[in-house]
Amino acid sequence: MTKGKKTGEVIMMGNEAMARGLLESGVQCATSYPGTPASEILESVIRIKIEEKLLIFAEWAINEKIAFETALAQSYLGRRTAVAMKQVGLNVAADSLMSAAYIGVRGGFVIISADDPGPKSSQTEQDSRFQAFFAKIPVFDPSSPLEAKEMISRAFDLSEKYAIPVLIRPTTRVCHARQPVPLYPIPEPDRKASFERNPGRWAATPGFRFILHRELNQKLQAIAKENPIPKGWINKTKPSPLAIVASGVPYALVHDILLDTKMSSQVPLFKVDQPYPLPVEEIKKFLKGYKTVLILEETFPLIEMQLADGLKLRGRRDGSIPAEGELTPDHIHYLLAQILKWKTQDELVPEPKGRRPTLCPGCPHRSAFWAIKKTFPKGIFPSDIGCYTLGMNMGVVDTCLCMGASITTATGLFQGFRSSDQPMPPIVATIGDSTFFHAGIPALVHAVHQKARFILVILDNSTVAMTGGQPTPNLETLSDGSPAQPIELKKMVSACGVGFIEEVDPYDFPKMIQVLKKAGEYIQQEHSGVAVVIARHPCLVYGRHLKAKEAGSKVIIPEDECDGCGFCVTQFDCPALIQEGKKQPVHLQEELCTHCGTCIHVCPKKHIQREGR
Amino acid sequence: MKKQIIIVGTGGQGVLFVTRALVETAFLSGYPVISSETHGMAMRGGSVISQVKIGRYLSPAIEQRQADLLLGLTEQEAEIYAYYLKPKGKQIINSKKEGHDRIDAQGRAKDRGLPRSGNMFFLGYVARHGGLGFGSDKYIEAITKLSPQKFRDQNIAAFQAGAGLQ
Repeated sequence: MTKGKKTGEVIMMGNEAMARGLLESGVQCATSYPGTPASEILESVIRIKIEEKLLIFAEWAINEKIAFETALAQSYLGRRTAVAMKQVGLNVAADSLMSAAYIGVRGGFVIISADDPGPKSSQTEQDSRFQAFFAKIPVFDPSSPLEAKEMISRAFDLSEKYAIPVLIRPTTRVCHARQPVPLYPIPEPDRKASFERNPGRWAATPGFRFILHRELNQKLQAIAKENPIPKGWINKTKPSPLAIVASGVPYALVHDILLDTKMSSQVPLFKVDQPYPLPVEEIKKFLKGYKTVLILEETFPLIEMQLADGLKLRGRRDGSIPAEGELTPDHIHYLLAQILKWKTQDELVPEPKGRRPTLCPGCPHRSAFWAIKKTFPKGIFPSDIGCYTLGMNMGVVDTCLCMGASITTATGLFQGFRSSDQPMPPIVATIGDSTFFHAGIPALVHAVHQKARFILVILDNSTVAMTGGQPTPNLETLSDGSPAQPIELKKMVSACGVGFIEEVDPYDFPKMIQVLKKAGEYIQQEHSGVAVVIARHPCLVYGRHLKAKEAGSKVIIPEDECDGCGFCVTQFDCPALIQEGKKQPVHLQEELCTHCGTCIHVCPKKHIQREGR
Repeated sequence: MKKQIIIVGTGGQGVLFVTRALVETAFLSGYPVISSETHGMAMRGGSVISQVKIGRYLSPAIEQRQADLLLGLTEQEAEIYAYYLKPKGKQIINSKKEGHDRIDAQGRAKDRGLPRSGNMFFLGYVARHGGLGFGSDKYIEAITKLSPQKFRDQNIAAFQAGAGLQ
C-alpha cells in the first residue's frame, strides 16, 4: 500500500511510533488493556484520533481477551484492526488467539504483545514469540521504535495476503525508547464495514477445524518462504570463524558493540526480522560455512531451537547467554571478547539494587492497608496486580499471582483450612477496581456461590494508576468523550450475591477500622459468606470522577516532640516521612507531603498532628 | 559526534523530562539520537535511570564504563550507577553540598521562586558545563516544545538561570 510523501520527522517513544504505524497503515479499530510496557500504544492512538478527528474505533477494553475479540470481530467486517497488550495479557487472550489462528481474518489483524525482559514491571519474562509459535502465526521482532513502526505496515500486508493474524513483539527497550521517526500521511479510512455470512468458517465445528488447521500449516510454509534468501547482511566480511544471527533488541545491541569496537567489517551479522516461521533450510545452507554461529535473541531460544539441528550454535542452550534476565550489551561484549580473543574486558558489575518503589505520598491505598493491618494483625493477605502490590512494603500483601487471583487465592485458602477442620486466621484480600473488573467478577461469583468466608477490600481509586491513569468501567465517559454507561461497583458486587457490602473512604481511619471490624464479625458467622469493603478515594495522581476531599490544615511533627523511634518510617512507608539516621527526629519533606494526615493515626505517641490543634 | 549519557534519580523528580529535553535538543541540533526511559512500577519513588546515545547508534543501552557523562538528580543514585561512567567521564550531580561537579539545582531554583523547575535549572547547568556543545537556543526551543503551557515560562527561566544566562 502506498505511503504518500514524508510529512516530517519527530521524536517518538516506541509505543507512539507503533500507534502512528497503525494509523498510517489505515487501521480502523484499535483496542487494548493497559499494562507496562504496552500502555502508551492505545493512549497514543486515542490522542491522535482526537487531534486529527479520525473516524475510527479506539477504546480500552475491560481485559485483554475482550480487547482481542472485539478487534478480531472488526476484522470479520473487512476493516484493518489491531490489539495491543503486555505479554501476560496475551495469556488472558490465549484462548481467543489459538482459535483465531485457525479461523483466520478478513481485514488485516495485528496483535502487539510487548515483552518485558528483566522483568522490570511484570510477573514473568515470557517470550510472546513462543505464543506465536504455539498458535502458529507469524511474528515480527523489532529492534527499535523506527523499525517497530515499519514492521506494522509489513504485518498488515502479510495478514491480508494470507488471512492470518500477525504478532508484533516489541520489548521494553523498544516500547520505551525514543528516537526521530518519520511521519507519513494517515489515509482516510476507506473500507466499508460489511459482514459476509460463512458459518463454515466463522463458526467452524471440529470437523472443519481439521481442514482449517491444514490450511494454516500451508499458510505457514508459504510465509516462511516469503524471504527465501536471508537478507540483511549488514557487511561484506572476509572469512570469519564466527557469524552472528540476531533478532530484536539484541541485534541493536550487538550492532552498537561492533560499531564502538570498530569491528563491523570483521564479524558477519545476520538480522532476523521474522523469527517464526523461518526458512530453516535456506538459512542453514547459508550458515554452514561458519565454525561457530552465535544466536542473540530475547528471551527464549526460538531461532536457536529452529536452527539447532546440524549447526554448531552458541546461545542460550549451551549457557553462553544466561537463561534469565534482560540481555545486556555488557554480556554480549564479554562473550564476543571470549570467542574472538579480544583484549579481555574488566569484570562486569552485577546490576545493583536501586531504591525500592513505594506508594506515592497521600496514596489512599496506604491508609487502607494501615487500617487492615491494625484491625487484623494476624491476618493472611492475598493481593493482586496494581500499585497496591506495593502494600508488600507494609507487610499487608502475602500473595500476588496474576490479575484477579487475590479473590480465588482467598477462596482456596479458606477451603483448605476449612476442609482440614483447622482454625484459620482472618483472610483479607485486596484488589483494585480495574483488576476487579478485569478478572475479579467470575472469581467473586465462585467464592460467594461456594460460601467462602473472607473479607475482600476493593481499593477503588477509579483509574488504572500503575500504568498511567487509564479509564475504568465506573466512568461516565469513553476515552473520546462520548457517554459511557458507568458500572457501579456496589451494584456489581451485590449482583454477585455478596451479603455484606460497605463503602468507606480510607482517609477516614476510624470509620474504616469500624467497617473492617464489622466485616470481621460477619465472616465469623457460620452461614455468612464474603464480606466486601469498597475503600473509595481517588488516586492523587490520576483520580477521575471521584472528588478528593479538601486537605485540612498543614500536618506537622514538632521536632522537640518526636523521639526518633522510627515506627512511622518503617511501618507506614510514606516517602514524605524522612529520618536521616537512627534515633533522629522524623520530619515531613515539604515537596512530597500532601498533608493528607493519614500518618496522624500511625504515630504511637501522637506526635504527628495538624497545625493549630 | 558520539556521546553516551546516563541520567539517574528517583521517580517523580523529572528525570524523564530532563531526558526528553536533552534528546529533543540533540535532534534539533541535527544529530541522530536514541534514548530509553523507566516506566511502570519503578517510577513510584524507586530508582529511575535513562540512557541517551547521540550518534549512529541503533540501541539506547549503554555498556558499563562507557558513558561520557553521568547526570545525577540525586546523590544516592549517582553513586549506585557510577559504574556506567568511563574512567575519564564527567559527572554532574544535583546535591545540597555544592562542589566542582555538584550543584544545588533544586535549592537554587527554589530560591528564585521556581520550586517545580529544579530539573530545568540542572539542565541549564549541564548545558553550560557538560561539554555537549549544543547551543542554548536549541535547549530553549526543546523546553518550549515539551513543557506544558502552565510550566513553560518557569522552566525556561530555571534553565536560563542554571545556564548562567540571567
